Amino acid sequence: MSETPALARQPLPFPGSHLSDLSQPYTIHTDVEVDRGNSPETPSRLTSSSPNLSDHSISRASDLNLRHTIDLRAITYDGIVDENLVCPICRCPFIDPVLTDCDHVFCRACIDGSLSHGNFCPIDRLPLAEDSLTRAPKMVFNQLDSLKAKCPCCAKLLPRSGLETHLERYCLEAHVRCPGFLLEQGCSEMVKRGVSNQHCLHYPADCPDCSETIQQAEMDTHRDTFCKERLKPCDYCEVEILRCNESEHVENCPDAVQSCRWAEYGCQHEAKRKDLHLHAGDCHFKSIGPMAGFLKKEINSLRNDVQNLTETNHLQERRIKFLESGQRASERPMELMDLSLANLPEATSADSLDPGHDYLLSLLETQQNRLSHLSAELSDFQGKNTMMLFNETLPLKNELAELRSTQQVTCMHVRWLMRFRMQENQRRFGGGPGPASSGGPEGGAGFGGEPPLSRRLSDSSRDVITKL
Amino acid sequence: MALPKRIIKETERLMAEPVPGISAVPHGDNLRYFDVTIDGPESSPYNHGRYKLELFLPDDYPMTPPKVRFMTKIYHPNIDKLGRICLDVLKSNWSPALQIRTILLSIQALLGAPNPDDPLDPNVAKKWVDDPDDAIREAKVWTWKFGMDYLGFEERKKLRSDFPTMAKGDENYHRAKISDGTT
Repeated sequence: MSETPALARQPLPFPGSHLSDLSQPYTIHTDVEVDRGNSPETPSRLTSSSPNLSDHSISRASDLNLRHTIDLRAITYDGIVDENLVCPICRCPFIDPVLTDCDHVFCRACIDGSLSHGNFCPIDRLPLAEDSLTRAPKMVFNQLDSLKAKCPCCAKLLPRSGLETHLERYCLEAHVRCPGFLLEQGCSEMVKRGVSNQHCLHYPADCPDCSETIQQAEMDTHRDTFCKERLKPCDYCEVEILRCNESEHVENCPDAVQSCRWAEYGCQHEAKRKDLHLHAGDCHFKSIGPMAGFLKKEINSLRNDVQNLTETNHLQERRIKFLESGQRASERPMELMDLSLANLPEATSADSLDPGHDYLLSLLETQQNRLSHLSAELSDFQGKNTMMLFNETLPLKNELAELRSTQQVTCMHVRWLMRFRMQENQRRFGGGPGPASSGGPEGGAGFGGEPPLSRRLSDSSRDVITKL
Repeated sequence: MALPKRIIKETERLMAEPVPGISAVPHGDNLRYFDVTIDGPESSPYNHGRYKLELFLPDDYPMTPPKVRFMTKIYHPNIDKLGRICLDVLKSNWSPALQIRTILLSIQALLGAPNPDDPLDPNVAKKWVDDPDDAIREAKVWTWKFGMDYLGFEERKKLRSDFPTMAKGDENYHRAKISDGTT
């Protein structure tokens, strides 16, 4: 009963030969209510429960309109709906949204289903009681109501909230009761609103040709395409033929009017099929026609060639760019250069359109990337190593300097003591000054009397450290 | 039973924007049944392995979790011989806000971070705790044996040195240990 225009737009990237499985959500559930007088919109009407348009009962006598229940999860929305308006459970724009204590919004039906499996919020797993749910803010409802959706019957874009009224009152493709409903016998069929101004045609009638009994509403279709008895004179040859075979007959009828075989190239002659051969001799296009056909074929093949060449060109341009970039990166190791050069001759060969080459190119690119990555890592590693070495040697050097300075200090002490001892010896023995003791008084003047000398020593040792 | 809109949407999104290293394709005759492959994460012993799984969406999905099972043999403390997976979000911690893609990502993460404290296969888990090096070596051997059928002969040959052989005394054993940083 409902066409599924929405389905045609649905991309089916997966091997979905099972359209029937998918088409079901797009069904509109049309249901008839007892009284149309008090029909304010209630949330319960939005849920899809009744599968069929079966049960009929009287509404106001003058009204043929039916109540349509729409499954709002099955309709197609215009464009991509804002993720903030999509229920995390059913992945559809909210239907009767409710707010949890933890500030999350769900469709009421969805969160009810979730709560029946566990009392926690599906997003943050916080405990959640069913009675703590509150109606979502009005703003959310307003945003949802203004979402544009496709009418499942006429494919017109309408605000979601107005869809139901549109189907019930205005949509020309939507179903309404047959006008015969108001008559005594009360026809229970449905017709599209666009044709509801006619009389009830839902009564059995006999086909005047084949004496089959069918509904009057379907009589025209039956007589035109199905009836096996209805004869009809051919429009051209006057021979009586079966109406349902008319189109086949016309294609072969010798009296049917046909255009010249060179009509494609400009001949406007038309004649009966049987007389066409007479025209063939006189046709001005008789000699041009075959030529034109040949040229057309040629042009098409040339066009294909050009397309192929353009593709090749693109590919080679890419390759050249790749090679150029390869040359720029001069620190690239030799093997890689060789590899890409080896690839070049293939580029000029005839089968260079092979997608495999693209793959090779990309392979090379990835290898190059990997290589540069590796070299970066290597230099990184080198740097790290140097740092480590430096760090390790530094304390050693310091220690060495310290030792050296201590050693110098002790040296000085020893020398000083030696001089001291020698002076003492001189004094004790009162001997004339020898060559060794000639330096004695100088040394005594230098070392014995002046304590700041030792500090000078330490100064010099400090110099040594800084030099290191 | 009609296919809920949510499943259609999820399937379309899985096809249009696939998760890297993961593919999920619905069966032609049952759109609730998916053939899944998950690539072993890098820096795990399952690297280079491609694991086949089956995923089934029960009738009350998304209120109940999907059923997922490994079809490829794998040496993992949280996956048993039959391919059943011990993962909280597939059981008690399921939430209807989770999706097929998030579940598959969780499974991929589980491959990267085995949890021997909550084991499904006690023997594997014990090995994992007692001798992690040997357990990882074993996992690599299994990856090589069962998880690399998708590769051609040449590609497998190139990767051979990354994988230890069965014998512990083999030289590859040590190399494998070094390459994943366990020494």
